Amino acid sequence: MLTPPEPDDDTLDALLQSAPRAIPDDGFTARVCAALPPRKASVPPARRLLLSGALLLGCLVAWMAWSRIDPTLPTALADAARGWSFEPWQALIFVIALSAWAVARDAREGDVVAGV
Amino acid sequence: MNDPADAELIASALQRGDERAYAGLVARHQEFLRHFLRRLTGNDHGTADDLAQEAFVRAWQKLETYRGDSAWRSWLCGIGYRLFLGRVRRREPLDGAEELSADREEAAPYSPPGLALDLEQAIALLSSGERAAITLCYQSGCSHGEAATALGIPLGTLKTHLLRAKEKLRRSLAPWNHGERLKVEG
Repeated sequence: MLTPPEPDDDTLDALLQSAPRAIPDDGFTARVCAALPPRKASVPPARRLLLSGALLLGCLVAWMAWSRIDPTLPTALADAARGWSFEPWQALIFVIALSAWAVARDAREGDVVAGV
Repeated sequence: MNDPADAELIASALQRGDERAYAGLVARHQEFLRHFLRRLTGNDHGTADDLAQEAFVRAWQKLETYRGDSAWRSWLCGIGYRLFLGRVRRREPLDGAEELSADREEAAPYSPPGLALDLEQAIALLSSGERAAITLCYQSGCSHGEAATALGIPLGTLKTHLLRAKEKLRRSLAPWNHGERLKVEG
């Protein structure tokens, strides 16, 4: 039985690459937009820094207050808390490092979105 | 990587939650995605458009997770493809669907009127992965790497899909190499 010859690679490639029929929008975009749920905008960098700083300041204040508390909690927990030494200069380095990270992350996010 | 206009629209949508910017993205890419999904669903326009709408909504919700290491439309196609696979899996096992495709391919009658129509039918008989690979690489202009990323498969698997798909298409379209057919078409 004779089998028909098959189209060569070039013919098939040309067929596959031929432009598909156009699909008109016909209100599709409007339907998608109507279905979009509200979305929170991302936090701007200045606000992010402020929040990070406030959070760290809060932690620092809490830690300082904690160190003055006469512990009524279980002894083991209080010992663990007392054993955790955290000097002010260390807190400062931590705040600076976290702020730098927040700024770098924000800059990188912008680059990524732009496809850089 | 990304068209500058896309990058600008994505940035606006991401940073300000700007729906109008996102509408611009939808308008720019709706044809591409709907065409891709129509191919995947065997030209089921209703299902393809439902999936496309869902893909755009998901993309909007997950826009922060887009890292820009591939074109936005490839990322979007990946979402559409996973939604399609999810729908196929819910209705029938994917392997079953692929076996059915293979059976239909063997039994498919040759039916003109046109080469383009036959090509559509032949593509519809491919497995989901093969169809997706052929559509992305040949009809959507994606590079092999981009298509592999969009489909979430290794590059080698994508190339295997392409080879198999082209082999099947070549067999399905073989009758068009007969002079009589070509004369009828011409």
